[in-house]
Amino acid sequence: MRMIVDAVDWISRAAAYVAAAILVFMVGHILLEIVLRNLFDTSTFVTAEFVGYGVAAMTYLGLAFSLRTGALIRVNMLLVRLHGPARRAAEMLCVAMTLALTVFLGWYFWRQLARDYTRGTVSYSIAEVPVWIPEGLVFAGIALFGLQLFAYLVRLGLGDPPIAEDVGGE
Amino acid sequence: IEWDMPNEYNATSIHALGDKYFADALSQKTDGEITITHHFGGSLGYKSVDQFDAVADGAVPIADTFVGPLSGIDPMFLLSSLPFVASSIDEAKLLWEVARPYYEKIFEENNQKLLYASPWPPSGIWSKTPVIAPGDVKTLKIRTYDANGTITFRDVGAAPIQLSWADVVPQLNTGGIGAVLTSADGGAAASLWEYLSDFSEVNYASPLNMTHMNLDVFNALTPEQQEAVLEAAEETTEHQWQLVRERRVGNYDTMRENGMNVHVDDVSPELLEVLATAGEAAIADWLEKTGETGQKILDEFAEQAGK
Amino acid sequence: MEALVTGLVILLFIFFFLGVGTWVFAGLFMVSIAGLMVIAGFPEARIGAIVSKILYRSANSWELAAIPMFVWMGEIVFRTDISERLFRGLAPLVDRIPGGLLHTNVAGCTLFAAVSGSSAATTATVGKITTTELNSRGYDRSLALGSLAGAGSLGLLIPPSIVMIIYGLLAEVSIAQLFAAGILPGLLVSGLYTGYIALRCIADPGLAPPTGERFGWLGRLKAAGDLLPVLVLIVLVLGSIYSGIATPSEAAAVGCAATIVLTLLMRQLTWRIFVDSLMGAVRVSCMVCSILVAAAFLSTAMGYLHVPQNIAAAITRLDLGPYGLIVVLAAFYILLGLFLDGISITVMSLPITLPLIVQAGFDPVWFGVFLVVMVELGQVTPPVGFNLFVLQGLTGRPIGEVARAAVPFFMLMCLAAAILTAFPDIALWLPTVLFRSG
Ligand code: NA
Ligand code: NA
Repeated sequence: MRMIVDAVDWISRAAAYVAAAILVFMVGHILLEIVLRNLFDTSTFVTAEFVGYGVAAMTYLGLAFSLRTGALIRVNMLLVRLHGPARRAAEMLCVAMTLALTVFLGWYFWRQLARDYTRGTVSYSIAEVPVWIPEGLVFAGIALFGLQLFAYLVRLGLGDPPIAEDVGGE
Repeated sequence: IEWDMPNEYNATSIHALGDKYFADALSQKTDGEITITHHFGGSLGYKSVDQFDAVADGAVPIADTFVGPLSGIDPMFLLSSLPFVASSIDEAKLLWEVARPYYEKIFEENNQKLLYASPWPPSGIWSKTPVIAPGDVKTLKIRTYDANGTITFRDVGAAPIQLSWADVVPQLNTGGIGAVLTSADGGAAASLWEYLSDFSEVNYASPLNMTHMNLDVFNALTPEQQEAVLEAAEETTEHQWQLVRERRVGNYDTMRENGMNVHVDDVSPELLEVLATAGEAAIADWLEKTGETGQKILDEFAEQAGK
Repeated sequence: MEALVTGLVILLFIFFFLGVGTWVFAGLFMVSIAGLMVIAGFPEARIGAIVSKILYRSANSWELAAIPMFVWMGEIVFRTDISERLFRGLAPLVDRIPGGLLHTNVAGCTLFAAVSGSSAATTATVGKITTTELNSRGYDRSLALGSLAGAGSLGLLIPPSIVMIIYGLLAEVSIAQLFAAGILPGLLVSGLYTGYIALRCIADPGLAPPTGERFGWLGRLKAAGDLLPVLVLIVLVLGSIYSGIATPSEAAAVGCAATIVLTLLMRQLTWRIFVDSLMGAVRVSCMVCSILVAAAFLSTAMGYLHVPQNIAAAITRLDLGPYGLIVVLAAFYILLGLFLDGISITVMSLPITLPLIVQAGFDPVWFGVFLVVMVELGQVTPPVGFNLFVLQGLTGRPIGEVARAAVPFFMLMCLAAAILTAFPDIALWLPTVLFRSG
């Protein structure tokens, strides 16, 4: 069990590195567009489109890692007042609810993704990007987030303490 | 019966006016049995490209959609955006009538019913200097709105630039771009005359919005209600094609009032020809994707238009 | 009436789902789904069809891209000695002003607002740099948090501004005029904040510890040199916008590139800092963007529930005079602001409120500025307030504490709205001079 849980952590971290790479790519793409427009009177023709994909992919791919490292905020009115087993039970309830939500979102988004894949839907820009590619990245992020929630549930069951909110001061 | 009806465009846009007209007609014909709540300006969260599936799945019962972006789902939807196929409002209407059965089929195959089409006023070139001769488009930094426009203007030696609509005004303000390809209507809505002085009616294309509804919702109506929906849709189509002519004249008046030079008759035939030739690549590309069907539509259109 | 009941039920859902302690973005999704299920009676499949479109559409957004990029820029500045230099440089400049370095929040946000078009990015970037420093120097935490929450929302009022661009496109109003109209009201708000901080610190000097240093003129001049890196960054980003090289949406990328080059030249940027700042940016951006996505879905749900339509109909029935209308609309926007983010509020309400405003004879450019102030109020009100979320994320303080700290600044912004209504020329003078003469 531990091994599976640790593997999910490892994948979450890897996905966050991908999200970070996407952020760098977005900056680079915009800089390229600026250079092309100002110096060469041309355009990549796809900046807004690709950067849009980047934001979506980055947001969802980084979700699992953000959850794991305590960066996703919550309204801590109830949780801070609870201790011991009550705290653990409340935490498990939150995780279970969020996991149910994630399964719901994931299932319906999967149907959208599958339809776009079989239909061969492409974007209407000059690049004609198959939309299952950016949608697939988003789905991967949602699926991984679900896995991470499941792993967290397991960890709570094994007696690990709840994730502490981390303000990222490092 | 209450329907929510999203539309990506503003409450004062020609398409929004059409939606209100349709809703009124429908409410009248059904004695208020069917009422529509409008969600203009994309306020329900959908863009046009999302609305095809949203209606198919019943997320919304009915929607008014700019169909150009749907070309990624079925290339047929690019027809009304093809450059220089229809060179006047009359021809655009004819093209719609010829292609209508094909559109209807696509919608039907996707659990939807096509109700009515609402045309955009023809697109033209908004610019800082007059664009009336072939030489004027060379090195023109122009914002285009779709792949066809990009290809067409690149081929005539202009510098097409892709920008989100929100970035257009700041870029005009600072001189990052010098021209915009859009309809007289779209440019007027953004007060482009504050930055640009000339508009050339080149009749680049007259794209369409279409209103489509979920087939299950339609089938669940009584025969009388179905009849009322179709009648109201027919009336709205007629109304919109009349309205677009008035909008065109009205837009030009507003533009002149704001100190713009509107070039209609003084656009040189050579410029139109150069642009039309460049646009042929886009048409050829479209024919490749749509095959026989596409050719059949264009042939039928050419025959009826006497071209 | 119907809208009121709907609003109350939504509020109950928010208290339940967020109160239990679910992650904010997930909780907002649950609230929206529960609303569509219970109030609108939508079947599960329809809700699934709706959410599968919105969760992708609202994240796949060019307009959002500035947030992660500015956040990254702030992370780099925070991890290199640019931020420390900023405070070293500012200390002698503000040591005679009551409140001292507390003014860095307001001044920093005002300056950065001219660079960034979003308030979340402004709060996150400036907050990343100032909160740790102010805390370690012993400044009053409540005043530090509150001024940051309030001043961060200047990102929307001082151009460039995403909300103004969206308003301009929807209301068919000149964006250039809107930008010009936002400048003086932005400075007004900034001035009110500065004055308030100074007054509080005069009344209670304990809120701002004395620096203990005395600076001669030479020392001041030398310290000003420490401000150079930040000034260079601001000039580069602003310059790229106003020279037309970059659009306001692209300016964030220019900011990142400039920060990287500058810190490399200063021999500050290591591979370690590069990676850490990037991962930090991913975490904060994920948090902010996922909540924005959820807020967009909540806005969609409210649209399906006809909340804005019903409220507008109710307002129309009241048949108010112009000032009455403004007061009621202000209340309406503050209510919406409890739940929604700025862009959602604008997109959702405008098709409904704009006709009322135009009919009552208000200048649409003026209303654009007024609306932005209203939207800014929503950024600092719980339960859904983005500046509060960002600050909670940055400092780890509970949201209740952050919200309480923001109360005086909320009131000051209300005061600014009142002044703006009484003297509309504060907004309209500049655009009139620049665009409407002759
Ligand atoms: Na700003
Ligand atoms: Na709020």
